[in-house]
Amino acid sequence: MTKPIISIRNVTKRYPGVVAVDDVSFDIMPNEFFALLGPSGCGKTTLLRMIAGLETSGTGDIIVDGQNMEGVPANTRPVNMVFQSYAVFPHMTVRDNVGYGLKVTGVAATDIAPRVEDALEMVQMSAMADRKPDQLSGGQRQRVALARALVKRPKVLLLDEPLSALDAKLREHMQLELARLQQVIGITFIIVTHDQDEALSMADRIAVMEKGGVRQIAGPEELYEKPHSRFVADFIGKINLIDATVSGVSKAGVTCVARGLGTVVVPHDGAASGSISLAVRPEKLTLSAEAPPSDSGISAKGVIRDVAYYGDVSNVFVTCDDGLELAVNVQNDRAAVGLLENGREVYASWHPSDTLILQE
Amino acid sequence: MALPIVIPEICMGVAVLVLYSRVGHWMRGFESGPIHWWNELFSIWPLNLGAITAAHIAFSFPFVAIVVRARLTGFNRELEEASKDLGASEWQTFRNVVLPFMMPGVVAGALLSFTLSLDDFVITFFTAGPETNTFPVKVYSLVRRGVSPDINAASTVLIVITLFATIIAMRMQAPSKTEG
Repeated sequence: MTKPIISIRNVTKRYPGVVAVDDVSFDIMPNEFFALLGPSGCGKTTLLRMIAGLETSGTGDIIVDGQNMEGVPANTRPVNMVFQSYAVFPHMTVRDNVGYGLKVTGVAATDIAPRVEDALEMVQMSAMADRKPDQLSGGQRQRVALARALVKRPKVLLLDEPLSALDAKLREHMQLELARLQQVIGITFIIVTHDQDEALSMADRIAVMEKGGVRQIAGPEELYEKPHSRFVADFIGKINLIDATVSGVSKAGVTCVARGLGTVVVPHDGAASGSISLAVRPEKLTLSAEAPPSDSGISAKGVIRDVAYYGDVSNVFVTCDDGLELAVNVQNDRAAVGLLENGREVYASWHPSDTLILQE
Repeated sequence: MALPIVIPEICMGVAVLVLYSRVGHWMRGFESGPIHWWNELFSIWPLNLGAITAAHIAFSFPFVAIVVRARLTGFNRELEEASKDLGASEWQTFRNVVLPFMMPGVVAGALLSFTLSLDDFVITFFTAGPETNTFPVKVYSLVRRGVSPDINAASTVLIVITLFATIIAMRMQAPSKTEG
């Protein structure tokens, strides 16, 4: 088994009145693209800054490549960071910015020049090496910040919300670019983000954080398809959560009485009892004008309350019996024509195996 | 910090004079003492010159501090952190990142304090002694003997210098267009 490049052991960081990071432990493997995902104020940036050594006075151990970082100042740690504001030095040219980290650590000038050229090449900024940061766009400054960190050849690259200041098109482009870079260089990336799409599309593994604690660590697919808790299910993508009460557990699954659905049987291979939430993704639901055959799955009759049109898909909100609200993603294909009208009576149905059981 | 700005100059002049008369009394004790280089030092750099310099630094210091601090409020702390993250020590960070950023403030402060110091009469009048004098105090003593063309010419030069220094200082303080 490979040794983890970063081990986080019982790391806790308190501010007066708040626990920013609450007893967090996990490992990150070499060459992994790891994401810390969570809503703002969940402690993800604090944790990243603790790894970088910019946030001190926390408890617990942070071990980078077998070396405990306790008492090691930021400027001697084998990690480098790309800041949210990029923090490109405004009074230096692109070339000087990238070379800065080498210059201050006493690398010979003859070695600096080729390394800087390589790094600029890598982020496709060679043509702008002599420009000042105020002559660059946001995306270009980001590349400079990346090159500046990568030129140091860190063991781990830390990225703090690197794409949040870019517009949607550029963000998508940089996501691909970052993933490509990570493959080419083959070092560990840790990215902090509040954007679940960003985390899902780029990361190998994602740690979902809430209120200073890690709620679940898993690959993107597992996180999306098998969230462990209501919080994770709700945070990653959209999901319908239906309150239900367990009435029996058998080989076929869990039998429960759900709000607006009556008695349903959901396949499940864990324990379940008391009040639970049934969770189903909006894209697993289908809408039809006629009642589906009763043996085909779970269905609910309702009225279309709202249709949000997004071009390729529409988000449809259906109000069912007992005040149950369901969100349904409908592909705007031929079948959807004429169906999506406010006030129309429809049936929303889905397969029982697409339903997750989340214990409170 | 703002105290030397709001305090009336006459009060400060008196206060500085009282302080210096005490200190001066104590220091003169050395003059007749066995330390010869002490006397030689004062023949090159008279005590009064040191006294005036110290007083001028004291009253122009807060102006410089305010100008530099105003400049630093716009400083992005992530620049400092980025520098440390890239391997720079505290001193290297200050030298390479913070100082260049606050340079316009430092230059503006220097020009401002130069102007203040050049123009100051009251505090200098209290601290100056027989060996040393500043320009405004000298002008004052000349005027008492009647206005001569020298004084007119000197005043013109003084006004021009002050004016230019102030204009440059204000230019330097204007918000720069090259924020990172």
